[in-house]
Amino acid sequence: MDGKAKLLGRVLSALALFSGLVGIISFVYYWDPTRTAIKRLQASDPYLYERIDPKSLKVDPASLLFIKGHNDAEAVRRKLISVFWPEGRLPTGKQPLSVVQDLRSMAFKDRCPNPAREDYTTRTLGCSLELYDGLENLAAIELLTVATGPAYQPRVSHFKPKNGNRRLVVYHHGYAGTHQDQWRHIRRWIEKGYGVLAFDYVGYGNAAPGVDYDGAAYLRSVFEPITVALNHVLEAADYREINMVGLSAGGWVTAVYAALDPRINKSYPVSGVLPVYLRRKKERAEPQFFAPMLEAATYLDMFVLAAYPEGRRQVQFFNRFDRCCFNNTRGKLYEEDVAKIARSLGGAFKVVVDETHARHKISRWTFEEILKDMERP
Amino acid sequence: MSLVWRLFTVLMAGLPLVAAWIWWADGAWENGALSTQGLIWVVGGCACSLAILAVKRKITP
Repeated sequence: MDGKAKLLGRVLSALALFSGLVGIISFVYYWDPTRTAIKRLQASDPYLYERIDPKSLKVDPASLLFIKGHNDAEAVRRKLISVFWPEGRLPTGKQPLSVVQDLRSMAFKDRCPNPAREDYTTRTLGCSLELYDGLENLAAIELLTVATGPAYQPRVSHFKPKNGNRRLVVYHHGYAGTHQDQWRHIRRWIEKGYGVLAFDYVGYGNAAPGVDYDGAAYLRSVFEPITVALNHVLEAADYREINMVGLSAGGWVTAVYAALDPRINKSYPVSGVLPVYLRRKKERAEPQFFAPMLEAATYLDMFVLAAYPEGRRQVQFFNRFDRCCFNNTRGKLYEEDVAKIARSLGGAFKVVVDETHARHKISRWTFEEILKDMERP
Repeated sequence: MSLVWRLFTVLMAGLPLVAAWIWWADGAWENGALSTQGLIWVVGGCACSLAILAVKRKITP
């Protein structure tokens, strides 16, 4: 009996030790400072986070900048717009198909008809309203339905503040998630008096079901809902400044859309866009390489366009140790060349690198930097 | 209970509190310095460990 009790004691000690190790290792693995150290040690090659690939240094960014002055900028923007809208102009007269004045006033079964089908990629705002409970400065959540054709009718959330600062944040989320993932950031903006217009990427959350990639029509489905939703909110609400923020593919949308639509005053792509020559394997999503788009404007030209005409600016954020993509300090390689042209046209351009974590996210640090920049005149 | 086990028990009780504090203080959400998933693993692992230690003390005094 004594032997059995001893054995049982040892087994339980081993189990307790094992469970404890799970707890300790989880802490080390998930906590940003230790996680960053682990990811740096695990890096498959030195060019992932630490050093710049010498091949990238061989390209002179200035050679990829075709915009030198005002006339070039106007011509390149017109060309870029024509890639997506053959009529050659943004559809600034188009309005949403329908508008729900306040989603919160709808019955649960109407705003969330399929709760069982919701997961982190399909989560709609209608099923997640509790995320915005108790937000004193929230006046209403408008839900706009826009259409780029009969097959695609995404919904867009417009969070209207009670006491607003007359500034709007357009937030675009990107792949593998929905804007519900950013509820803390959205709440914070609303608390600060910003209106928020939130988009999901084609096929996710409020933008599901999506459409298959087929070139220009698909890309119009990405960009046109932003134009249409802006047309509505600028008419219905009193905004004097529009800022745009996007994460991952949403960062790419932010960079391209800011180049297309001068109504965007300040834009902040986060971990989502680099010129073609700096992209690694995981950063080659097909829509971002649409040949007619890249023939109309290089990505560096688009960054300049986001800071043109006068008074506009773009600040790009990168997570240096991002486990996913758009990591390292590659953005710094073209910063000065783009900034120089942007300055000469009256705008501003900057690249900021976040070294506080190793995840694919808008960190608290980045969020605060964006907020500080937004509050600057 | 040996000193090592006592220290281990303190660690198992303290670590989830530290993790929960980081999770909460930094925003209590996915984009904070410790994700919800991370917190669940830390709290789950440590709680299991403490529960097993309690059972062990009871049946093998």
